[in-house]
Amino acid sequence: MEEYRRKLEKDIVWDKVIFVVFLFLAIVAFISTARVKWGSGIGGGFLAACFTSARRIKESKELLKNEEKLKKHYIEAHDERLEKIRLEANRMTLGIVLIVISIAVVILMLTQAMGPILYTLLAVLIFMVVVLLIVHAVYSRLM
Amino acid sequence: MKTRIAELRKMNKISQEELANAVGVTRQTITSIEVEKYVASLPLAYKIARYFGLTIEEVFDFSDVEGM
Repeated sequence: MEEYRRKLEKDIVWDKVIFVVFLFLAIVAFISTARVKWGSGIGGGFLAACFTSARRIKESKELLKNEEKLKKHYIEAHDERLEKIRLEANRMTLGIVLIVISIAVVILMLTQAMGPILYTLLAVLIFMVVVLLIVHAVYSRLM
Repeated sequence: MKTRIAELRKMNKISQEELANAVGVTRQTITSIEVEKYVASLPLAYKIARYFGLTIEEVFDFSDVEGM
């Protein structure tokens, strides 16, 4: 539990850094893209990251003050069933995304719609497969 | 995998919440193990068995496991 407490304290420091950096980026983005169409969307994205880190700081501080909540949070964060659910969900999502992109690439090739969309999808597909192979090789060495 | 967790809990008058807190998992995980929807890992099985003062084999039924 003490280790988890220290992890939360570290997270707070990182979240504060993220908050300051993204707040700065949001201000810069709002000023520099004020005249560009959809430009405020970039600033909005940075601002959303700011709000997320602020919310995480608030949550972490509340957890550190309340021992009961901290224990509950620790259990939820380390529960093996929830961890397995997360892993399965990630695995399934990755599989579905790979299949959908592959189908899209095949459809584009069959319809001879050669263009930036096909090349982008193809690049994403190749990148995902390469990353998958590298990660697999790394974990094979580790386990 | 069949287990005697529900039976042992009733015998010792322990709630799922109490057992879950003692072994460091959520109450839902204990429920899932009891209704055979989830198979506990070896460390968790050991913790549960030790909580009841029994061995893993006395709590978990390995007869369904292939090759046993």
